[in-house]
Amino acid sequence: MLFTCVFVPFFPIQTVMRNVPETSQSKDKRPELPVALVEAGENIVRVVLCNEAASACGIEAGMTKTQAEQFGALIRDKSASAEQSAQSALIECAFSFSPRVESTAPGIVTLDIAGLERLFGSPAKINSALQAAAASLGLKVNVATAHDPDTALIAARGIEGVSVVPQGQEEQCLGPLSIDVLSPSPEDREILEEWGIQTCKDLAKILPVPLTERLGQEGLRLWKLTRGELRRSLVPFDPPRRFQEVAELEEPVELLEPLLFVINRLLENILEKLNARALFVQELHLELSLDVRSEDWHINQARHKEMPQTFERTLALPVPMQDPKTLLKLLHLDLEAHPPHAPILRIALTAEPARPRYTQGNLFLRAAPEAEKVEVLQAKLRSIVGETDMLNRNTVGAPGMVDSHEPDSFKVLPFMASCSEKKALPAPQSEEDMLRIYRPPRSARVRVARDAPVHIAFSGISSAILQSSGPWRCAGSWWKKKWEREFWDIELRLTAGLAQYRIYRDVLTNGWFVAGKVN
Amino acid sequence: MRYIELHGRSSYSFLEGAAHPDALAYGCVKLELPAMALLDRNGVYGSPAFHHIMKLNGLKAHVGAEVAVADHATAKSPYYPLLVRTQRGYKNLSRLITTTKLRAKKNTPTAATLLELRQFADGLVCLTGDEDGPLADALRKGGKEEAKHLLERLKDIFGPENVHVELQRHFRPEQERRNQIAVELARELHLPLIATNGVLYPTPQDQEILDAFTCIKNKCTLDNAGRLLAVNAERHLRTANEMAQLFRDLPEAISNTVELSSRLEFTLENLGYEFPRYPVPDGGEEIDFLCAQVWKGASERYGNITDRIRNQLERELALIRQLKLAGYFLIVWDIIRFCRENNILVQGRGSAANSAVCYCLRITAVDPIAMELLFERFLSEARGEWPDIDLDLPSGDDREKVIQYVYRRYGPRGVAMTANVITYRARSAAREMGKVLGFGTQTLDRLSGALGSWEWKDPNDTLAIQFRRAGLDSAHARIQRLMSLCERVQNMPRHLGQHSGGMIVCQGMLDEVVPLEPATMEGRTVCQWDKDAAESLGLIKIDLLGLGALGAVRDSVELIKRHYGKEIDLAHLPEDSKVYKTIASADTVGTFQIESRAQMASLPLNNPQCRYDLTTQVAIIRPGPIEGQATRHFLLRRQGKEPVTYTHPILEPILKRTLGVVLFQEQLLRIAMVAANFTAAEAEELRRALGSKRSEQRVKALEPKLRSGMTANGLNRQQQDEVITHFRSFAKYGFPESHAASFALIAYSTAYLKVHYLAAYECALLNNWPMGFYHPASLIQDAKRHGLKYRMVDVNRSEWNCTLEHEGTEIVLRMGLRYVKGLKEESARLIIAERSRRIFHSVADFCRRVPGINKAELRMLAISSALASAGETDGTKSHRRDALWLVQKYGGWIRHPLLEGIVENDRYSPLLRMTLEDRLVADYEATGLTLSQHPMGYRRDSLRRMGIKSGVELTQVPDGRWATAAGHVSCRQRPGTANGTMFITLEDETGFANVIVPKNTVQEHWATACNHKFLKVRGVVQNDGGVVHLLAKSIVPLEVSAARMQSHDFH
Repeated sequence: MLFTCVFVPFFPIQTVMRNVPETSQSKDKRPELPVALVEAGENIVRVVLCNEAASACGIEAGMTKTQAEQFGALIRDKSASAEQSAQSALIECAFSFSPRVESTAPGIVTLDIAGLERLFGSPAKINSALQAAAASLGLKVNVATAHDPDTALIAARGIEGVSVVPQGQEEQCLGPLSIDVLSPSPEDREILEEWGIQTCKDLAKILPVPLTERLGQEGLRLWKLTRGELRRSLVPFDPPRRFQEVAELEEPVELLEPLLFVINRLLENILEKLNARALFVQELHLELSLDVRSEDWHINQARHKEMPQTFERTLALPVPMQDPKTLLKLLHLDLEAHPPHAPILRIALTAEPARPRYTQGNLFLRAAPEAEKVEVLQAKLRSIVGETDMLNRNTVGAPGMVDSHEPDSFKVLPFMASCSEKKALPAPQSEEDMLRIYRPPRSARVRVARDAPVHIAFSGISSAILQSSGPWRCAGSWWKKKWEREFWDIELRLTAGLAQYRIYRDVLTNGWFVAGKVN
Repeated sequence: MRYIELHGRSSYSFLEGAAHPDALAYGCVKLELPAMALLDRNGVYGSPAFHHIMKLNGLKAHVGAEVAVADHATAKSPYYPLLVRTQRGYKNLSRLITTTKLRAKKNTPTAATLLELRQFADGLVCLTGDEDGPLADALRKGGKEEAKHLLERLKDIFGPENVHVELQRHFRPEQERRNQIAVELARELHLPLIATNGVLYPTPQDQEILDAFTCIKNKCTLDNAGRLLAVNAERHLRTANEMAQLFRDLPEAISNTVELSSRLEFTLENLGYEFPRYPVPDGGEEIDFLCAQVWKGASERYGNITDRIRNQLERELALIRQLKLAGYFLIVWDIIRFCRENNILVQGRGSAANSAVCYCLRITAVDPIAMELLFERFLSEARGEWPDIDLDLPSGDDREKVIQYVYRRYGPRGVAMTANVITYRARSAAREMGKVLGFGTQTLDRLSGALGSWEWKDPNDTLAIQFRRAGLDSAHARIQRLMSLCERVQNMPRHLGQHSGGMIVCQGMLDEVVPLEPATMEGRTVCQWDKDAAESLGLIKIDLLGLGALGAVRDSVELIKRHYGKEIDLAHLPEDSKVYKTIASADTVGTFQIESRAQMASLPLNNPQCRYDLTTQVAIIRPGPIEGQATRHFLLRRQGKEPVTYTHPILEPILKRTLGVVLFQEQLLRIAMVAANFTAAEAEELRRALGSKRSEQRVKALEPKLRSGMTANGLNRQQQDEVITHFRSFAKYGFPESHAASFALIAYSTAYLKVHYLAAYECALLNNWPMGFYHPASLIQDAKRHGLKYRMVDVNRSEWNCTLEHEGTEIVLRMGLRYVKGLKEESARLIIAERSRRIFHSVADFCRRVPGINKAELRMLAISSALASAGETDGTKSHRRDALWLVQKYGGWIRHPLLEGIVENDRYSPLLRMTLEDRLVADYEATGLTLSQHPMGYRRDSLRRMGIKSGVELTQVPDGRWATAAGHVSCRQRPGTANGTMFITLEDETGFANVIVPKNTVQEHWATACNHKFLKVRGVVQNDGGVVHLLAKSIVPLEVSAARMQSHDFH
């Protein structure tokens, strides 16, 4: 067996720098530029990594961005997406050499190159080719080949450029390298440092039994690593499957029904694929390419030309599902509520897979509607009332208490799977005390005399106020969006008799509202 | 309509009120409220401050407290608002709170029982409280019936005329419902109604601070505090009209406030405090007993009592008799006697040193008659306050012994430590307010790091700039909230601590004067007032202060007795020219007071030759004399470089001994009396002004009077200006002469011990560290330069403390186990106990016999080479890594009888011996110091090739020449008096090099100057009569050693 490891030193820095446009420095000079990566906390930006050149300037991890800027280094933001795309590129690159590739860690890939000599030449040649391929991706890498993946990794970590560790000579080749290449735990690293062990050679010299007596199995593992005596199997990289179906339409579709016909077909295909792998749908992503240039449509809609060319919707499902009817219905309702603004040319439907959820039925659990049905119902409701109200609250779901003094403050939570806990019954409330709250509150015109409301007009009612009690003042959230209200309980004489209302003045806007009616 | 606010809480309710008493008083003035009652929770913490400020404004401060009462204390116990009507009532309230507080541990919820409430009800008026009060509690628990029952019980406890049904209107419906029931019950039971606003803050905007405090108290953020926060901001001070309008339906509730206020006759003016009487043997008069002790002491101190001494003593005793202070002096004398009998070093300092009586009673060690000190500075008829005696004691056990003696002597309720009110400062405010607003720990760490890290502050350093430096955007709304909250909570009390040494003693029961609380330390009680509050109310305080140097002196004397066979009488140390020569050459590392860099820089110029010279030396390095240029003129005059002149001939007798320069506070008082015709009382006012926090403004206020007095005495405008400058600069703090003299005595003692008994003194210093200016690493290097030999920590020889050993005729210092980092004292005791059975003959033997030591401790012992002797008992050589290798195997073994006596064969390791650099790194890692050469010494040859001068070589460089120095940064300072200049002390194997970094160079090399351990500095040499400084022009880091050496940075 023969393995090659590709190691990218200062991987997060290189991933960021490879996307930076060319400067006066040539590409291979880039790693020598002092570069520090910073990451933003909530208000503070700190250095999380810097290359050797930056360290030489005096930059250290943990410094603030402002401090680091004083040293004249390039400061860049650490980017998870850049790292991800660089890792993908690295894996792709490795796949172009070998079908068995392991994504060992960020910035490290290991390839099984057994039998590739006929295709690419000697291991040294393969290494050079890999290095060149990585360079074309903008990454400067170390490449090492050995007879086990760990030795290859250690050599790639410790030896700059390309190297080949011949079988049987692992100890000699790894000997001069610092023990840091073995990635010992911080505790072991400290002990080894105290022992004066700097290199793999120093560690390899110690007899395994006394070492194990002192550092346990981990000590023995490190010792074996220095001698290339550890054997492990490669864990081949399994690329994530994409469950996507695309349909190009010959004619732009304007109506929902034919569109759903096509979507249904795509959905069935996707579900078939998922079924084959015993997977369910967790999220459905619909992307529609629109024909915004269509003359007819422009005339009809009388809109100006600057329109987005794609239209995207995502359905996040509360539980993984596989029922095509339900999914289609959900898409149907969603599109009904959010129709695309132009005829459709292309449809792409993507499913995020998930393993089905298996739950044990509970004898004492109250029977609840199936999750799919609940979801469809909610989608129907949403399509009618809209997704959120003016306070950005969900419109559909279960009301939840908010710990706040703000009157009538509540949140709307998604329906949860019912739990076995018994809900406490609400305390009985006398009918007279009940306040029927108007949501939203009704705007009113109120006349005030001697600090008390004396006349009110709202929703077609105009009446003198017979009695009033108040004001009851409440305020809060001064540190973000302040609210402040003055409440009054009032009594009016209407044609039907006496009626009590609760009204309030929004102190900040000075507007009057009727909060509700007392039963 | 008149109205008195009778229910208010201040920020002294610690997180349950958001008004500083000053702000409440200001509110009362502004809103024309003639009086107000402060009812803090379970205490009268804020009452003195409130009383003082209200009195200043001609308003009346009623005293009271909200006391938690419940038979089973919980955090939700109802708070009974109790107002003090009479002095008896105050005593009862104080005892009620004390009884409650002392029952529980510090910071645990506690409450008085109803029985105790009944016991201490006399002289108090009870209100029925707000939503946390007893009426609301009863209504919640049992409705109207329960509330009625409560009111009947209160009537029974306090009497019907002393229970008022309290009404508050904060525009809340549930409160109004409660009010309606309260009014009905009051009518039914014929109880008076009273309106209050339950004030928690002066203005509605301050509700924000209370919300923040609520979050701190409940350990939550504003975002998730929910209904813990107040529903509105109505609990602020209101005018009489506003209150009358609010209670227009119940006008008697308003008028009753005035009526009740008029019945509350007690204020803190008539506290009823009496200083304890000293139990005179045979029941004689205190003053007679005192006189006898003084004359007895005088004959011991002076031998021959001259007329001058007699006159002074008689004058002082007459005044003491007149002011009835004999008891006070006898109590202090009693403490001194206890110390002497228990072999505890003690020395009075402060103004007590101005008194010959104190000298004769051995309270102080300075002869005020010989030193011509001003007695009036200590005690005068005109003073409306008690004299102040501070006693310096060795820190640690000895001091605690004395404190416990005082507790035993006067009873746990007759004495208490004064409190220390910890207030919000920039850092603590930013941290806590930041947390409340939901900022993360990392940001808050950064922010507190950026706030006020150096003593010197750039005047342009606004809070916004400091926030920006911490990487926070000051334009962001939430950051602005943070800044605003930080500014507004500055100086508000955060919690109550304990003053380092102030004790209040009282005749009878101190708990009738001020409520007492348990302190964190076992066996101590602390009163609810801090030293300023206690002082302002005339409570007498004795400061028992811990002084590390005294501990070192005490230990030295014991070591000298044991190892040199000599008895040292500290009271009669000879005037030794060798000691003065050493002091004058600034060879004073490790001595008391005269070891700092500024002191060392001035010592060769002052060239002290006698005790008085040392007194001036101690006094010149203070912000007052430095900023007023007194230090510069004095030193020039000492060297004869400037003629001794006097601003006016009238000042010559006062300033003669200090060469025409004002160095001491007493001199200023004399000048005020002689040159400006101040009376003793006015001079006293001036003294207080000089000692106060707002001294500059207060001195300025006295300026016209000073000038008119000086004009009358013939001082012209220029002379007056000079005198005024002295006053102004002294406002920034200078020493009283007596205090300086006391310190000079200790300084001389330490220098004497260092010169003659170096080993003993260094040993005592190391055992009493932390103290002084230098890290042990520097102390050791200095002692080595003086020829002292050290021996490393050794498990077979070392004690917990450092000890002295005899090697032939030589005495060497053995480092103690306390210097092994991370080694617990308990583990060290185990080692010593086991070693006393038999020595350790191998590392395995050590590990097995002392199994209580964990692996980390074992590794530190191995790294420090403390295990070397255990590995070498058979005459073979082993090294530190052998020990490290072995402890990794044998460490953590469980003691097992079967393993007793088993000899392990593996004594050595396959590991290489440490290199020189490894050993240095190991030394500093394990002990924070090295007994080998200073790291710079190993690099001297290469440094010399780089043209770098050593500390000693630098002193040979003539003034004005360029030179390069390098060394380990032993100290960085940026004092407030130096306008941004930074002082860096570089240490090498030859001594120290003093670097001055001007403000612009600091800015240019900030990162290097502040962050690197070793520096190379190039600059111009300033050589002034052997005092050498390097004025830095460039600073670069230097790579010398990876050892973790520490620097002493004065932040």
